[in-house]
Amino acid sequence: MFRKVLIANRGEIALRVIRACKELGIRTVAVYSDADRWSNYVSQAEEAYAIGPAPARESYLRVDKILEIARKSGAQAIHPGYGFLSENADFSEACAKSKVRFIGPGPATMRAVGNKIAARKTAQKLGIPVVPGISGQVDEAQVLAFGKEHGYPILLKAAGGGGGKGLRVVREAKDVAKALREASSEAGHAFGNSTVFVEKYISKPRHVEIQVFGDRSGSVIHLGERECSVQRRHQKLVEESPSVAVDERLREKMGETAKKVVKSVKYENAGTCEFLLDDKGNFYFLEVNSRLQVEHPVTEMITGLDLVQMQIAVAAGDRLPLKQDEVRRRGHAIEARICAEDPFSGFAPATGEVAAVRFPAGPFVRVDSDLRIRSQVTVFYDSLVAKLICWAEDRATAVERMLRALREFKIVGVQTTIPFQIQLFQNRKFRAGRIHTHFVDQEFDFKDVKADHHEEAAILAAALEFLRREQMTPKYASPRPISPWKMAVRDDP
Amino acid sequence: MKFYAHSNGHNFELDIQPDRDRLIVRFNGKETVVAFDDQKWSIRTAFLGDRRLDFGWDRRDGVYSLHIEGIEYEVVVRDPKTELLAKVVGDGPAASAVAEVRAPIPGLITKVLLKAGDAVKKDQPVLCLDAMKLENEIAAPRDGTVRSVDVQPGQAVEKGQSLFSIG
Repeated sequence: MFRKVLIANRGEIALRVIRACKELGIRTVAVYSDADRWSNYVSQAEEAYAIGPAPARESYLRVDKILEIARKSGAQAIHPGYGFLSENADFSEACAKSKVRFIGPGPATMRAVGNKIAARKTAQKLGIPVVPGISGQVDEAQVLAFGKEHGYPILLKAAGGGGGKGLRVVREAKDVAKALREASSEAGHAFGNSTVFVEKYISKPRHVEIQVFGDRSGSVIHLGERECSVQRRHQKLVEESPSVAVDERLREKMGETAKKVVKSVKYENAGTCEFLLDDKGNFYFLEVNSRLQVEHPVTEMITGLDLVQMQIAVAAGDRLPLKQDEVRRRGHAIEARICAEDPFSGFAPATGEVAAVRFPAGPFVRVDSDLRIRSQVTVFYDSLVAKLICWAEDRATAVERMLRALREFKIVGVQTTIPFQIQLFQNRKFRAGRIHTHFVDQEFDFKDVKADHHEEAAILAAALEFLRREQMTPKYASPRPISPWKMAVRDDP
Repeated sequence: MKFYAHSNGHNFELDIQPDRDRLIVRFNGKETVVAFDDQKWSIRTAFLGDRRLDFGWDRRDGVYSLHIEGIEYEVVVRDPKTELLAKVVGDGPAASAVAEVRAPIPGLITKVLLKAGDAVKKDQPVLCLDAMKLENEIAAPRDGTVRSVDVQPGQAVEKGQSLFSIG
């Protein structure tokens, strides 16, 4: 096992990896940009090094600086987290050259699955269903011909893409030229690769992914599915396992398919196979994410496995700690992503200083977050500030637990998406499990409850604090004795 | 005692009377008995009549931000004297000679296209603000001359921060 691991990431995922290391008795090395100097994860690590200014390009994406710190600190391995360098094959290769272990798949595997077109071709060769499309750079004439053959709408996708960038839905032939130009230019800017391919647009699909794990001996297991259909503009908002649309037979079939894909590229470490699932139970392979996913806690909660510790052990050369038939799944887990965005003004990024935080707690509630009092939320990085994960024996109970925990959650000073999540978990269709990837954008109606909901209470609370400040409140003010019966009746009117 | 509160474009008048260890607040046509503890935490509990209110609060530049069930409210509270003063200042010269343009959303300045002294036409882009993964051109609100550019490329700006002014 490693004695020291460097974490080439920030925020909640850096803290997640540090925690895993500590439990294994591994010393941790954090890196931080100027913006993250006083972050929680930095203070939790045994060692911490500055790597440059706030923009990621000058800090968390600096391969040279990170390897230099690994050498200086004597770290034997690097955990890349998600995002930043996590799916960068060149980084994985540079680590190998510097004799420091990259906790993730090797460069050859990453190259084989990293590009969406390459992954499609790999799957097709194995006879695995993919969404009808053209696996390669397309021009306008090809797209028009494809649209004519398969019917609109069609989907233009960036080969190197992710997170909704370089993605366009085309509903009519006359929009093809413009969409192709936009997708290509967006992909070029975001990923340095402007290749765009075309796929048939599947209406109302579910996004279901399979967690896989491989070790150096060639063993591969799957840990079941996560459903991530609740998305807003292709960004996941809620993830859960199991999926209401997946029964044991389908799970087995999808799991074996995912294993077949990753086995074909000698996959080592944690990975995720993404699929679209249509309303008839047909699934189509989309891509492999060759890293730890943001939503990995959902799988941890129902399997009882620590995926990050497994990643570290497998990277150190250990065999997988369990066989396929030893994988146990129990209950239902849901994750809500809490982002610093203002749902009352079009999800504009919210920035500022956190004045106070109160994390929810109680049975089967987990919070992965790097926030603490005086944390700065800036525009330099992803807006994810916390992941709230709840477990229960069944989905309905887990949803109620989630609502309870969301109402307990307080992040003062920066508007977050908590009010959005509260409405989502109350939504009838969501509760019935009738969700698909366009659910939030097309069917869910977020109500601007800001004015009518708590404004009066906010005014009263502000007046109260104002009076206290001006020392105009009565001196020994204390709660008026209220009948506990009355208090127990209602929390909010 | 009379007080004035402003939230999200809504204006309220409050009448607050201390009554032993509690306050009687009249506003919005209602009377509420408010009781509270004496702690200075950022997350507190008050009793508004029979309702228990669990709220977070912070105060910056005289603006209170209140956090209730995940929603942030920004509230300004003034006593009658300050309210009067604010009204006088606020109702000053009707159309200011200089138009100050502020950041509509937080983001990163990627490009600055004009400098102080440049002539500018209405709707002409003055700088680019990268936010929500999109590049937003911020244009001049009217014809004139650029009086000042208050930001530089690469700079992160907060919502409401002054970007440039047109004279």
